[in-house]
Amino acid sequence: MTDTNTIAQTSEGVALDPRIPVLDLDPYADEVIDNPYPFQKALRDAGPVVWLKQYGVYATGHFETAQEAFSDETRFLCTAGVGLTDIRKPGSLRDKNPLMEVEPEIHRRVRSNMMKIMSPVALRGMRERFDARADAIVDTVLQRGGFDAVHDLVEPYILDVFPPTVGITIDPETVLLFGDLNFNANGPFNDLYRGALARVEKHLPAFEDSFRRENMIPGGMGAQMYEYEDKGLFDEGTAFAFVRVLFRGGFDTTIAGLGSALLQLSQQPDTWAWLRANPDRALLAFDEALRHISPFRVSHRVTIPEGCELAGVRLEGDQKMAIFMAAANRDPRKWENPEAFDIHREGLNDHLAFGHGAHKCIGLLLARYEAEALLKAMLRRIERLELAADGAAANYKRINTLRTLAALPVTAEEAA
Amino acid sequence: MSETITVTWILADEQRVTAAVPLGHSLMEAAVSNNVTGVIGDCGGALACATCHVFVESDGFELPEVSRTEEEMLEFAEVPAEDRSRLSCQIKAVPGLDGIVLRVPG
Repeated sequence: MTDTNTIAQTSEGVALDPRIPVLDLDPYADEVIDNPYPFQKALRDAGPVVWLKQYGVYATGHFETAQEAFSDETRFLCTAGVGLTDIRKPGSLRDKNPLMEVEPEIHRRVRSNMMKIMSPVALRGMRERFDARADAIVDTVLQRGGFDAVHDLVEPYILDVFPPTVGITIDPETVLLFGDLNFNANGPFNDLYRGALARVEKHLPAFEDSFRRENMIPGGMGAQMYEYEDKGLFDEGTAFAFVRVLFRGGFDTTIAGLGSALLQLSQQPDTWAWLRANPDRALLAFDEALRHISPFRVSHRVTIPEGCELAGVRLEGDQKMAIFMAAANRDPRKWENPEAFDIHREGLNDHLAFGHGAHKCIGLLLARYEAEALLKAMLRRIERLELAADGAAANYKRINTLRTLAALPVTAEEAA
Repeated sequence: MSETITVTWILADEQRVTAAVPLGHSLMEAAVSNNVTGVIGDCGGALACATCHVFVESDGFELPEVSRTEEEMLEFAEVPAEDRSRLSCQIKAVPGLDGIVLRVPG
C-alpha cells in the first residue's frame, strides 16, 4: 500500500521531505467510504504525516498530530478552504466561508461577535423547546413500537428544532439533498459530487433564498446576523454566508451523530440501562458516538507560505494538509481499545469530531443541547431499545466527507 | 493509581465536597465526576458554555492565565463573573494546586 520509494519531487512540483511516506490510496473511493477502517489504519500506520499521492496533499490520522495541525495558527491556516479543493483557485467546489476561511485576526473578531448571537445564555433559553419537541416526537414513534430511528425520529426532530433556532424556514422535502451536496463538495470533484449536484441543482436557488435577509424569522439568530452586518460588526455582505454556514454546519452532522449514538445504544442494553439511571450523563453517549464514528471525517488546513515542521518532518509552504478526524479519533496511540463504543472511556471529550483550537465547531453547544434533549426524552420513555432484525447491517450513505446512516430500524419497549 | 491532588468545592449551601483529582484532569471534569452540584460542563470543556464557572476561594495558587476566550465566555455565566471567577475546564490538576478551594456560584 505504501510506496517505499520516496520521491524527491511530486508530480505537482512539491519538494517532498524524504522522511514523509507516500500513500497511494484514495480516501474517496466508494469502497473506502463504505468501509473506511482499513484506509484509516493504513494512514496511521504509515506515519504521523503522509503524502496522499492521488490528491497531492499532506495528511494525518494521528491524534496528536491532528490536534497540533488544528490548533497552531502560526503554522496552519484555513485561508485555502477547509475542503480538499482550494477556494483561492478556479475549480473550487465551494464558496469561501467568511467565518472560518479567513485570516486568524479576522476570524477572532467575527467569531467573538458570532458568539454573542449564539451565546450560551441564548441557547439555554431554547432547551425547553427542544425538550418539548423531543417528547412529542418520541411519543409519536412509540405508538408504532418499531420505527426507523433515522427517518422517523432523528431527522424529523432536527428538522423541527434546528431551522427555527437558526431563524429560517426550510423546505423539509429537499433539505437533506443539500447536506449531501455540501459534504460531497468538501471532497474531490468526483462522481459522488457530480451526482449530489445533479440531484439538487434545480432546488438550489430556493435553498439559497432561505438564507436571505427578507426570509429571516424576526428575532432569530439569522435576523441578528443581518443586524450585526447593518451595525458594521460584520463586513458587508457576509451575514448571508454566516446564516448559511450555521445551517449547513449544524444540520446533517447532528443527525449523523445522533444516528450513530442510537445505533450503538440499541446494541448495548447495559449502557442504555445505566443511562436511564443517570440521564444527566446522556451526552456521554453523544460524545462517544462522535468519537467512535465521526460524522465529518476530514478537514483541511494550508501550511503557511514559508512552510513549517510537523511531527519531525518538513512541510512545504502553501500546501494543503488533510486532517482525518475520524482516523485520529480511533488512533490507538491516544485511545485504549478504540473500536469499542464505551461511554465511560478516559478522556472521551478530547475527541476531534468538533475540530480543535480556535476553529472548534461554533455550534457545538447547540448540537449538544439538541442531542441531550432527544436522548433524555428517549431514556425517560423507553425501557429497551433494540436493533430490528433487518437492521443488523446498518449501512451508511455514500458521501465524500460525511458518515451518516442511511436508515436505522429499531424496536422500542415503552417504560411502564 | 495515578497521582492525585486534593480539591475542595464549597457548594451554594456551604456544604463542602473534597475529592482526590488525578493529575491532568480538568477541575470541571473532576467536579462532574464527583457530582459537585452547580458545576455542569455542558460543552464538555470546549470553552463554549460557561457552566463550569467557579470562584477561586483560596489565595496563593498559581493558576493558568485567563485567555481572551475564557474572559469573553465568563460574560455568559449564569451568576455574574467577579475577579476570582474562572471556568474550571481551563484549570488542569497540577501538583501546585494541591489543596485548592473553589466556590460554586449559587
